[in-house]
Amino acid sequence: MIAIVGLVIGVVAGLVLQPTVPLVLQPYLPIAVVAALDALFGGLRAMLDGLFDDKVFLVSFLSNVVVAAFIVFLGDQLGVGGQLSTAVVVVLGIRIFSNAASIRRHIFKA
Amino acid sequence: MTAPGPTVRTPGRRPDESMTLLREVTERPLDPGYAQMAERRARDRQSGQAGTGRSVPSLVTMLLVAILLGAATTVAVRELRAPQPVVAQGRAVLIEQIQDRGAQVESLSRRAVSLSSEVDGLQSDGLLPSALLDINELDRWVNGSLPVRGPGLVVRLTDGSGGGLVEPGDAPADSRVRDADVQFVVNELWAAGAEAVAVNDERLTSLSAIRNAGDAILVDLQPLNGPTYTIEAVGDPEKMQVGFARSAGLGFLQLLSAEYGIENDVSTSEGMYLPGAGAPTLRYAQSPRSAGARPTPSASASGAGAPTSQDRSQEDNG
Repeated sequence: MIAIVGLVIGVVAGLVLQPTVPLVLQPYLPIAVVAALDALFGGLRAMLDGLFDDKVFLVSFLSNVVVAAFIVFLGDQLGVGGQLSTAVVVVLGIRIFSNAASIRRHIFKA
Repeated sequence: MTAPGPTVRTPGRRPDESMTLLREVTERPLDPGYAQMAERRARDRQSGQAGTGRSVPSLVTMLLVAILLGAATTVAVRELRAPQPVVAQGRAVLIEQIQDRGAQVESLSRRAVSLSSEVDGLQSDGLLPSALLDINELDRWVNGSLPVRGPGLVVRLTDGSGGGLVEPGDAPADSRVRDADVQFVVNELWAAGAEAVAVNDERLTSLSAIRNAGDAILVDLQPLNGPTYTIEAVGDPEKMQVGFARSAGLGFLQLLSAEYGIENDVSTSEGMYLPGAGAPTLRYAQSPRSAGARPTPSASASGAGAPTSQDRSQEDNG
């Protein structure tokens, strides 16, 4: 549960403090948010499955965001940034969808 | 990944074995880490270790990481949802300034025209012999300083839309009307006997230039608003229509339409009003007969430097 508490504190802090993002990091924001969404859905599903674990959740969250941003960075360096972003979004999108479907089955039993 | 050679397939192999990546994505979306951790906890419980919690430092680390991730995600979302970045604001300010200044230029040039007509009125009030005034007025009709009215020919050129499948702004650059297209049509109209020509209500004078600056067509430094460019020519409508049809003009319009999708429309009009361009200001050119005048290089340069479509059409005529 400590991960959830920490996330909530972080969200509140982000809303209250309103720090500005350095320009260098701007291109990676969308993909990082998608990766974060994927981790959140994964965590929610694990919670409903009764498998939730703080450490696994945090590590998957962090590595998702970092790896997604790194892939975009690598793509930018190679000149295929747009395509690699699409690839990341497609893969994460599929995962989000099937996790959401699993969550739906848990909640609505259908 | 091994190539599916002619080797005998073991019965346990799946037919879609070569697509492990897709299968991985669609069939096992949950991080396997969760299952592993749950398994380990179950094993711990069985062995009676009762590992209820983690050490305090690891809890603190996890809390900090969670706070960091939450804050970072929130900030990223907020940043992405920001309605107007600084760049867009700056651009809006620039656009506003351009529009303001454009309106100022327009109102000033209108004032110049009205002032020059006032000067005309004062001049005609007395003193000068009427014959001289008539010649003066005729001259200024011809050179475009005064507005004229009359029947004539109207040619409209419209930017190609790229087949209508794309936004107007994304249409290929080739399908836009260029300065050379307008110049060609104007020259053919002069050759067909036009007595006064205006492009989008910008009257052409003996000092006019039609040229491109970036994507915009300028007439006398005034940018024209696309996508339709209206070229109005006062003259005998029938004679001009025949002349224009016989010249290379019509073929050129067909070429533009076929090659670049630039639409055109040629029609006659009974009553047109072409605004005057106002009295031009000559800073260097002087009359060779006026006292103390000498043929300076700048005078001839400014005379020759202005690309006058009238001159060219007169050559065509002669």
